[in-house]
Formats: sequence, structure tokens, C-alpha cells
Amino acid sequence: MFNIEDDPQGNVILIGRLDAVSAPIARQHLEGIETSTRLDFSQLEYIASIGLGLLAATQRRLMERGEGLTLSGLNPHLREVFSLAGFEGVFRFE
Amino acid sequence: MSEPALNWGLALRGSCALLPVLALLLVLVLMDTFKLVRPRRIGWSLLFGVAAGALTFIVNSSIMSLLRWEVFTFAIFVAPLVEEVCKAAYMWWLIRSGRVGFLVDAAILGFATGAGFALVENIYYLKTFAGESPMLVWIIRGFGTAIMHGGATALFAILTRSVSDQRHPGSAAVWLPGLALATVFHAAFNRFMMWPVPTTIALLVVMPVILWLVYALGEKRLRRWLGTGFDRDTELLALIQSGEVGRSPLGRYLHSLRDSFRPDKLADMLCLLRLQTELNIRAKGSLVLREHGLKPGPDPDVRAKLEEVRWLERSVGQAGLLALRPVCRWRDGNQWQRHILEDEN
Repeated sequence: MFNIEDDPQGNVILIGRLDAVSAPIARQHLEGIETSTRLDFSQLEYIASIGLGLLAATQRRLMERGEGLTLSGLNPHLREVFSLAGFEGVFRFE
Repeated sequence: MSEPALNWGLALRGSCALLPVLALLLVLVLMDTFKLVRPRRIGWSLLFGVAAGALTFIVNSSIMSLLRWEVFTFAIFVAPLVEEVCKAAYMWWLIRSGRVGFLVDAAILGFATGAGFALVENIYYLKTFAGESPMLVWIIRGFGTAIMHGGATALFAILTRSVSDQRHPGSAAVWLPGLALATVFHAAFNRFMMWPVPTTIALLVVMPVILWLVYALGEKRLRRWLGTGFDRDTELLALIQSGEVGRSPLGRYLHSLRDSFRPDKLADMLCLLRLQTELNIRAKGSLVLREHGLKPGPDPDVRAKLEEVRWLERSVGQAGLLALRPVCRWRDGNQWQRHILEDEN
């Protein structure tokens, strides 16, 4: 199960498993982001490579207009995966 | 006055014959969504093609003086094999050493090698036969020759890369089908060299279609490999990090190796597994970022990790690597992923 929603502060919360099945839901939501946004990963259990691709595409689009994503609340395993994958120099982490 | 005019004519013919081929090479590079091939490697491929062209000139001249065959017969039955062998040698080395991972990079590097070769051949033809045919025919002939050489080596590289996953790397069955295809393709082109215009037009129709199909298939395979490979790597990393390896099927398998390997070798095998997994994640993450035009953040540890992996591989030896194969599919692109990281860092 996967869900993506906005909280009242304008943060985007990802919940559950972001994999090939749930990627279209995430893509639709991420494509609607127009300004710098914080993505809350604290309730995300798993992210597949397709999810990383969605984040990279969104970041590229936002960077072109001087904006960007901040990724927050990653569990230690996800944080290490992002770090190993070379995403640390591309996204802001909190 | 006539000498400079001739040189300008040569330069124009040469440029018109080669520039479209370099433009086609550029198109192939731009179509490479994942930026699999670094410009430096393309440059080396072009240079090797030039060297192969020079070597072929010497070999062909020697064989021709021995056989004393008519030029046209030689061009169909001997020259294609000699030339394709010389061009294929570099591509075979690239594939064998794990520097070519997918059909797309095989096509680009093969085409670049062939383009370098065509540069030498066209210069030779222009200097030898300049003025014998109208300029338009020369341009078309030069263009056709360059596309043929680029296309033939690309075909060799694509087929050899496809077969190399299923066969033993040292087996002739890996490179023989590609060499046969490239040689037949080349011989067919030479057979119709008296009609350069229709031959070039036919090549211009066929070659882009073949390359487009290869790109579509190659990218589809790459995406599948990237998806399943990344997920497998992250799951393995999670398992190793969790400290629960001992209770997992992986742990039980490693325990089963205790009778065959010393404890320190088993420890090295586990370290190797972890380090290679980390490097695989780095390489795949880098490809995901490249697909979207982003550059991965610098990682000062990558060089040291690559060194450590090489040391661990020597430590566990061939037997250790073979024993690890069931749990990490050792031959599945690890070498290629390391080359990606070496190029990047």
C-alpha cells in the first residue's frame, strides 16, 4: 500500500511502499509540485529504483527554476541507500 | 594554382564524406538517455579505429601481393574479413573486460571505432583516386563507406555483447557470430561498390532502423536490469545492516561454506559482498541521476572501496568468487558498474 498527501504546512508525506505499482500515484502528485518542497519520508517503508527516478525527475525540473526538494525523516537504511547512490549532493536532507 | 585547388577539393570531399558520419555518431550519443559512454572512451574508440585502419592497410597490401588476386575479388572475399577482425579486436577487448554493459554503449563504441577506421580509408581513397569521379559521387561514396564501417563494427559489438551473457567469455561462440555478420555485411557493401549512390541510400535507410531498434531494446533491458538490480542490492544491504544475516537463507548458505573455507576467508567474502553491493547501489544511483541530467554528489570513498574490492577478490580467490556467485550473481554487470565508477571518480 502507498499513499501520498499534503500536510497543512505544505509538506508532502509519503506513506507505505513506493514501488513500480504505486509509482503512477506518486508521479501524478510530484508533477504538481511547482516550488521548493519538503518531502517527509518518516512513514515510507520502502522505495524502489523507479521511486528514485521520480524524485530525480522532480528535482531536475525544480532546479531549472532555482527551486528544490528537501528530503526529511528518512530511516537510517534509506538514508544510507540515498547516500550510497550519490543523491546527497543533489537533494537537501534534514 | 592547380595544386591548392586540388587540395581544397580533397578537403571538401573528405569533410562532406566524414562530417555526416560524425554527426550520426553525435546523434547516437545524444540518444543515449543514461549517458552510458563517456566522451573519453568515444575518443579512444575513434583513435583505435584510425590505428586499425593503418594496420589493415599494411596487412591487406601484404596479403594482396601474396595472393595476386584481382582487386574487386579481393575486396569481396579477403578485405572484409581482415578489416572486420582489426576493428573487432578493440570491441572484443572492451566487452571481455566488462567495459561495455549494454547494447546501447556497444552500438556507440562500435560505430565510433568504425568511423575512425573509415577516416583512414577515405583519406587513402581520396588521395589515390581523386579526380576520377565527380565530386558528388565521391561524397556519397565516402559517406557510404563511413556508415558501412561504423555500422558493421556496431553490429559486431551489439551481437557479441548480446551473446557474451550466455557463453563462456573465452569461447569463440561469443565473437564468431558477430564477426561473421559484420564480414558478410561489409562484403555485400563491397560487392555493390560500383553503384555507390543506391548502396549508400540503402545503408541510410537500413542502418538507422537497426540502430533505433537496438536502442529501444537496449534501453528496455537496461531499465529492467536497473529496477530489479537496485531492489536486490538494497534488500541485500538491508539484510547485512540488520545483523540478521545468520538467520537468513544467505547466512545459512555462508554457514554451509564453513567446511570449505577458513573463517578469515569467509569474513572476507562477507565484506566483499557488502562492499560490492554498496558500489552497485552507487553505480545504479548514478545512472538514475544521469537519466535526468543530474550529476551524483562526490563520494571520496569510492576509489578506496574499488581498491578494497580488488584486494578482497584476490584474498578470497576464484574459489571464493565462485562460491559467492549463487547469492550475488557475480557476473551480472559488477565489472561494468566498477568501470562506470572509475570513469566518474
